[in-house]
Amino acid sequence: MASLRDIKRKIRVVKNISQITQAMKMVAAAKLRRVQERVQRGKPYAQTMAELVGTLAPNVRDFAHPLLDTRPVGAIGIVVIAADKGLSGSYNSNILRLAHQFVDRKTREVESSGREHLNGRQPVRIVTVGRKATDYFTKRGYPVVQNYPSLGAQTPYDQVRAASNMITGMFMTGQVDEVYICYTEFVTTMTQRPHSIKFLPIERPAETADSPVGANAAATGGTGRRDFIFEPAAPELLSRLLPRFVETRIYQLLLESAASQLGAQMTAMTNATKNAGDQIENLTLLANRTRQAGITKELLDIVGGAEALKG
Amino acid sequence: MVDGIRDVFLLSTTYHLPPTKMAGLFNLQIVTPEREIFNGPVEMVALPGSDGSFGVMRNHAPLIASLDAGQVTITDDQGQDMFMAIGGGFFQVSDNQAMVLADSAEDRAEIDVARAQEAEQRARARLAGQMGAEYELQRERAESALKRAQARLRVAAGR
Repeated sequence: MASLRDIKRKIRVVKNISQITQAMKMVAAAKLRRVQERVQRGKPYAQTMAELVGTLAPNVRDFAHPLLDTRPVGAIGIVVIAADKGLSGSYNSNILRLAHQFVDRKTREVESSGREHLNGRQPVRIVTVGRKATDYFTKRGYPVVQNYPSLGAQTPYDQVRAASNMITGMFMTGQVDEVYICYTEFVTTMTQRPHSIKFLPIERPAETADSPVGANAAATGGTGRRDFIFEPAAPELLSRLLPRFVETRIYQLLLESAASQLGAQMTAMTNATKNAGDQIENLTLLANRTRQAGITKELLDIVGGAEALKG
Repeated sequence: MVDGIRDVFLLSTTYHLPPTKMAGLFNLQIVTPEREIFNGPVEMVALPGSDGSFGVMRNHAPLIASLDAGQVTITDDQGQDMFMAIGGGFFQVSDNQAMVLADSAEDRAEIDVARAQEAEQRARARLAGQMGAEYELQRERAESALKRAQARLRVAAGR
């Protein structure tokens, strides 16, 4: 049985740990708030962007754009978004497990059905965001063609643009025929859900068949739709808009994953602090019991000694 | 108008101009993916449209336009001019609500001249280097980087 001094030392250690986890929880909470503010600040842009695409799409027919190009699939790109650091519960392992399974499944699919469309290309290209993802896939010998650090509250937007350019470039130059993204959806601070989504080619914007084509079309339809002047013409505008649209989407996914990681970290640290509290309680109990046992033993010794003297 | 600024002060038939001498105000918002850099009533805004510069005042007909890298000049409700550099983007106006979606935007005071100069050099070097069809994408990017850098420098220098 451990001595009283050992137990007291252990209580001190656990107390220190709980102070650290408590502090880390506060830091994660503050960072999460900053990331959420960043999401808020980006909202007007993202919303208007979506609005513009919505306004333009009905005015365009037979629209072709490299980002909408549907090809027979021989090679694919997979973007995996994880974190640079751990200490965020199961955040990294959840997304990486999902991504790993996804990569393996897609590789099998491409290898079995897309052989004739491969044309000597690499069947799967992986782009990682976050050091944990990079380490995970390189260690297992997967082809990571590019890696980026994970997004924080301070990361300059240029970095997002660089990643977006790289990903769309890979698609538009024909290195891959489809791009998927594995990211973590932020449900609440307590709940985060890993997902994989098809990212490129973009789902074709709905071209409404019933509305006549042309800038003047909307006016005659007249249900709240405005008769916009387009400069340049709608198809040209839309093709300029799409790359930005894609970029905004990547930005959102990166921010959402960052928020998820911080949420997971907060939860993990809350749990760690609570566990440390439980342990302190148990150890204190044990310390008291040990102390009491010591006193009892001493008393028995004294009583035993007195009895012996009497006899 | 001077300097090749095309006249697109089209009046929408939907509205009646108030019989005042003042042109009146409309609301302008300038946002980037990262932040909102302007939001308020203005008298006029001049923008670097990709088909030529244009100006917008109150009661402009609904318009969607794409923008090049260049200078945005805002005349605010006090009649004061403000200058900003944007790195291309889009513009939408309807019902006296105008919105600039800029790829990047900076106030004159915010522009980092040294950085812009560096970027200009870099873009020129890249343009001088790689050519050929397979570099089409890189060339386009270098060109737009050059335009952005030049726009910043122009705005910072007060044109």
